[in-house]
Amino acid sequence: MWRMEDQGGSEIAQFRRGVIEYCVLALLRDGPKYAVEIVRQLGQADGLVQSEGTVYPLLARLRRTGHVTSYTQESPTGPTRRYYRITAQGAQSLHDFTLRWKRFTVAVDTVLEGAQ
Amino acid sequence: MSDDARDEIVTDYLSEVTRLLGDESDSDASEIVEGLRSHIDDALRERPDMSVSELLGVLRSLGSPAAIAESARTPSRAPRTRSNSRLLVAAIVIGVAALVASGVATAVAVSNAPAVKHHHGWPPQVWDLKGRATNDVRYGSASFSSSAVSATKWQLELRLVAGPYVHWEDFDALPKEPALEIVWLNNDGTIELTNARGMPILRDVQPSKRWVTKTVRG
Repeated sequence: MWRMEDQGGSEIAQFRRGVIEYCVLALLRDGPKYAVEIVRQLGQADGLVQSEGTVYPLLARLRRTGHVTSYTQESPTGPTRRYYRITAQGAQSLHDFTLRWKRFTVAVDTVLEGAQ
Repeated sequence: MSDDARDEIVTDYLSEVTRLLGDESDSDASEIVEGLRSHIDDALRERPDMSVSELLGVLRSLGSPAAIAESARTPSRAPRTRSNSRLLVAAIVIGVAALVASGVATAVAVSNAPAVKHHHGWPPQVWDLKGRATNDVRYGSASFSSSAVSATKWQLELRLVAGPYVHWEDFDALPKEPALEIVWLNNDGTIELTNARGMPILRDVQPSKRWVTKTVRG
C-alpha cells in the first residue's frame, strides 16, 4: 500500500510539472507581472508549487520559447524589477491547453466518480 | 542578524545555484539568479530584522540549488509554435509557388487546347452513370449509345456520325468480364475503358479517320 501512495505522489509531481507553465501563462493573461509576484501567486495555490525557486527557471524557459517576453522596470519602492508579459504565441498555447484541460478533467472526473 | 551574515548566507546560496546552472546559457542562468536574488531582497525588505532561521526558511521555500538546477534542465511542456514572421514567409512562398504552378498549367492548356478542340471538341465528355441513364453520350460530332443485356452484361455501341475511326481489333483484346462500364474520353483525344471499379481495361485507343457502328459484348 505504501508503494501505491508513493507512486501517487510521484504521479502528482509529474502532473504538476506538466501544468505549471500554463498556470504561469494564465497569471499573465490579464497583464504583465514581475517575477516575485508570479511566484507568490503560484505559491498561494495549494500544492501547485513545492519550491518557489523552481519557477524562475520556468520563466526563463517560457521567455526562450517565445511564450512570454520580459523587460526590466524601475520600482518606486526598491530596485529594478523584471516583468513578464504573455505573447500571442503564449496566449494561443494557453487557449489550446485550456480546451484540452477541460475535456480531460471532465473525463477523469466521470471515471473517478463512477468508480466510487 | 548583521547585514554581513545575511549577505554571506545569500551569497553562498546563489553561488551554489550559479555553479549548478553551469550547463545553462549565460542569459538563462543570469535571469534565474537575478530572479532568486530579487525574491530574497523583497523578503529582506519586508522584514529588515529577519533572523538567521527566518532567512533560512525563505531559502527553504525557494528550494535547494539542486532542485532549481534540475528545474532549469526540464524541457518545456508548452508547445513551440512558429513565429508570425515565419508564417508570413511561408505564406509568401506558397503564394508565389501557386502563381508559378497556375502559370505553367495555363501555358500547357493553351498549347494543347487548339488541336484537341479542332479534332474532337472541347471539353471531352465521359460516359458516366448519367450518360448510361440516357443511353447516349455525345463526344464532338460522334455519339455513343449503350444498352444492358442483363444485370451483369453490357453492350456498348459506338455510332458513326462523323469523325475518326476506332480500330475494333483493339477491343478484341478486352477481357471477358461483365464490367465494361465506363468510357473515358481523355483530354488528349484518346479513349480509355475502365470497369466499374475504375480499373483500366484498355488505354490510349487512338481514333483514326472515320467511325463505324460496332457492338461489343461484355
